[in-house]
Amino acid sequence: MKALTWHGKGDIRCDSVPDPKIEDGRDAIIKVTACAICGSDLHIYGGIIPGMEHGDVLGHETMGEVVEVGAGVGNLKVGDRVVVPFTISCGECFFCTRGFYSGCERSNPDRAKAAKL
Amino acid sequence: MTDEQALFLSDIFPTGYMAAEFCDIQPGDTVAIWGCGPVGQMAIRSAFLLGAERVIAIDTVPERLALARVSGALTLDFHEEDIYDRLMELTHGRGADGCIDAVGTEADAMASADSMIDRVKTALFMGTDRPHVLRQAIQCCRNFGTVSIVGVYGGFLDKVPMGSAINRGLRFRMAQTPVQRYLPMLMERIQNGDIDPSFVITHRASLEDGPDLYKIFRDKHDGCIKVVLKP
Repeated sequence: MKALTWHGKGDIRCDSVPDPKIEDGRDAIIKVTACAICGSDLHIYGGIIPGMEHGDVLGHETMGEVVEVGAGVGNLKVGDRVVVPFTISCGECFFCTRGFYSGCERSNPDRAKAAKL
Repeated sequence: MTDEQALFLSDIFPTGYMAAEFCDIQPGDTVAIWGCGPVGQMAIRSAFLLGAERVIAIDTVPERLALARVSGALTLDFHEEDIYDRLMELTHGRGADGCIDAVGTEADAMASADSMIDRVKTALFMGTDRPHVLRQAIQCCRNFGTVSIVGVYGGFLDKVPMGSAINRGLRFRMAQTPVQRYLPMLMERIQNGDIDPSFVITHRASLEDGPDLYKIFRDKHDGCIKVVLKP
């Protein structure tokens, strides 16, 4: 598939990258029909976000059509139209069940660092 | 609902809406919004949806100020006028009831003396952020008003006037938007025709044109406010 990828400060390319695969039972794959560039993508473009690596795929404002779902997905089916929230959340933890999806305990691998910064 | 109407449910519409919701807008309220980028534009329309009598929008980019006026905001250009003085003049010397920071850490480095100092400090690794807008939002907020922060900050902020904030009873609300919480309600708002978030789109292109569009968006060239890419 095509994707906009990061190759350093001010260097973004439209590359061919491997198609995504279902890796977890709760994954879904969408065929993107529209996406947008966000002001926060410019922080990455400007090289001020640590941890970016060559070839990382950019973008978090996206939507599309579901083309494949994992075995554990019960609320989506192939053909559904979806918008993807920029906050990736599990929906089940202490914070998600209270509506604080952006505080999800399971989606941020660097929680201790995030709390300090 | 078209893709362009639905797409911004992913981030900027819920973020702008939350910024306005944080202000707990009451009839007659004036809401001041720093930053007329895509999130600021969503905040302006959301503040009106939530009953603000007046929205004062602050930026310096002409087409962004123009779009804010189309939404019904009164606009102020921070390179042309003193924002604190003008806001006080417009609010009987009290300040705005709600002040929304839709700028965050990368405030215009040439906007004010404190911004220039922040710029030097970040360049020398003596500071992490350039919080001019947050300082000004605090100063321009009326006693017991709300400072709503959706512009993103990254680290440890210098010279934030907490004395003024605590002595005048300001309320601070801020978050990375818990988007999922807002989705059902905002989808209904779009379906009802209360708002069409696609008003903010200025550029449409294919994914192949993405690298050029990043540059145009960053440089605010060609009247660029929001880019949508399609395969």
